[in-house]
Amino acid sequence: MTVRSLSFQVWPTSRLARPTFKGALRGELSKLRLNRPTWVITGLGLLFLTLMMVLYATQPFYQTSFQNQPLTGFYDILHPLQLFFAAGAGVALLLTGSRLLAMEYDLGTIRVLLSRGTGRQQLLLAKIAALSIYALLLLVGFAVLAAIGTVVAVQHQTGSLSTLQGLPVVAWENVGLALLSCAISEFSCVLLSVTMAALLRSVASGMVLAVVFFPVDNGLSMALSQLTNLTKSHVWENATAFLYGPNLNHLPGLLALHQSASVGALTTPAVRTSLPETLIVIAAWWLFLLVVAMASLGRHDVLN
Amino acid sequence: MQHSGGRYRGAPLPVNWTTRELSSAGRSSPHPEVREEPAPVAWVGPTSPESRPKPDHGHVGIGDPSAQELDPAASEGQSPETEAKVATAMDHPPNGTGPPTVLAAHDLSKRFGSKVAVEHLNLEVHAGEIFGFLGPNGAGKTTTMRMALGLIRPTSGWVEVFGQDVARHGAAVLPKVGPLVETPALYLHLSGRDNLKVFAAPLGGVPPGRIESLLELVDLSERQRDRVDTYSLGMRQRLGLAISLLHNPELLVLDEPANGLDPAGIKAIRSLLRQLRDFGKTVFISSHVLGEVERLCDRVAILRRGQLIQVGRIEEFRDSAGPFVVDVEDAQGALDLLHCQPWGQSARLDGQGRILTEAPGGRGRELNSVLSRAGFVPDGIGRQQRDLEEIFLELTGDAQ
Repeated sequence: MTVRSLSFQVWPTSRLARPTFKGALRGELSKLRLNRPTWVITGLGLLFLTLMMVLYATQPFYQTSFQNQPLTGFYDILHPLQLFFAAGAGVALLLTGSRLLAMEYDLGTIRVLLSRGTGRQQLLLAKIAALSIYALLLLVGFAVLAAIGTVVAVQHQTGSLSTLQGLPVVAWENVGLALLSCAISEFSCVLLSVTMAALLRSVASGMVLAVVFFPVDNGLSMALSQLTNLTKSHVWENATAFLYGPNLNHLPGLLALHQSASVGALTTPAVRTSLPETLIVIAAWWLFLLVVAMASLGRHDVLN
Repeated sequence: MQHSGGRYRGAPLPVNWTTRELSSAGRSSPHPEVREEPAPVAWVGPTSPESRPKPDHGHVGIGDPSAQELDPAASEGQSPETEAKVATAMDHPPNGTGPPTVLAAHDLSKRFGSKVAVEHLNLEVHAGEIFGFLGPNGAGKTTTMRMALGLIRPTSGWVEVFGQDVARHGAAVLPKVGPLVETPALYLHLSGRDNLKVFAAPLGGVPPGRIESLLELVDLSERQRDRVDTYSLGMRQRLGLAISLLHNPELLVLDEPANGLDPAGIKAIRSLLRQLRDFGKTVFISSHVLGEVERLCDRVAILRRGQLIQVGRIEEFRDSAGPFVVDVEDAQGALDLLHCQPWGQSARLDGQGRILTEAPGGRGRELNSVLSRAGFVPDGIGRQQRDLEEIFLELTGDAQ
């Protein structure tokens, strides 16, 4: 039997804390860091990226491509990587984002957070900010690893880096634009995931709805195209210009400079849309999702 | 208390959860010390809009016609000390300068669709007291506590915490509150230590050593690195209590903190809460363990179907709620006399030949006068003492 004694420290009122956005953000980053699935998903992404780079370094197709048409060969590496990242990081963020918010309801921790003074909107914005930081780290990590992998692949396939050194400026500009489109895609996923979680307030439901949203969205685009064919009315295909997923799919191609090949093979709007139109639609979706998430989180009583 | 280096360091708080015994170490009844040298309490004066009706401090359960008042007249002839207790129960500070109110519900109501959870509730919790909140399941205790913590929006009325409307100024006042609502809400996939860190972050973290102190306080030091989903319910409850204490709150709002604890654990929590009160903290606690409430709380409020039916000090509950017991030689004759009185219809004999009866105006001396004038001079008159459970069951209509 041990008898312990400790000092119960009481610090003055002036040291009483107040909830801050910085503090809430730190808390959310800690949750992400301490969340095992975050690392599992990131590790899986790293594994697939490594496999892709091994493929680039060993497949004879790329050797021929690098030697005969260096710019095309470069895009042959860039586009699949871009597609892989947009899809992989997107799914990762949809799962992580919906879990990060919905688990507070599943576990009941939302009531501890809110009853200690953290505002609902403050908490939501802190979660979005934390997920955005995580998304940015994923993008930076991906860019660095992809760059290293590309250098290794080109060196291994051609015996030198002259192929890369001889690329026109537009190739590097397209790399920057590809990263920009990836960042937009990531943030779109972050907003979608937290909105679904705020609406459903359940990890399982939030994750499912977040993950199926884009397939349904893309399927809807195809269905609307078919309706146009059936009814001969362009209303249906015009409507596809306002869908979230197809516009996000279309964005990399619109951003890319002087490329003959289409970027990616995903569903795009059934009608031609310009870059400004696409950006406006995406921005409108961001605003809509943010408003829905804030209203949903702020409106409901915390009963669980 | 000493004041050094910008930090108050309280007297050592001896804790031993392992042996389930929490020694008071010479602070057996240190409540007066708090009066002499109170811990810092940030009191912010009422800031409610003028348009809002001010609570009438002369009533208990204002706005609730069914609320029984503890009649100060019933204490006539009692000692000044008892009168002061009654005055406190009536929210009449004897000298007009009582402890400030840290939590007040003003005409508070909450409806969920057509279901009324809380109805016109008026309540005050004073600084430095342990206030018990009792009621059967579904009485509205948890809903009230959640409204006090800004988790549920009232349908009407409002809750003031430290003088400010919690719905509008939650960010300012809630950091001074340590909440524990129902089952402890924890990140099950994290360790106990990480839970404390994560919950500390939104309020800017805690000073070095604080987390270790709290873990030791609730006897979780040895399990601090284990995942919470491996903890027993009692351990989770203790961790929840540690979380509520993270930022040295001035007010603790604890909803059933004894849930899942064994008797020794309940006793340890009781000792801890008493010591926190002795440090100047206020505790607003709901519990189903009536014996614990009886032993722990300074005042209690009883809620039934969302309505406050009584509030007061434990002693007054015992005194006011029981019938008078009359010891008289001719018990049957006296009983016949009482049955003729409009207030004496329920008079009856107990198993020991004594009369159990109500008194005119609830006053023992009036009863004595009526009996004596008729020649039934009582050998003794007193209130029947009952425990809180009997009173609770009677007041909440669950006696049968």
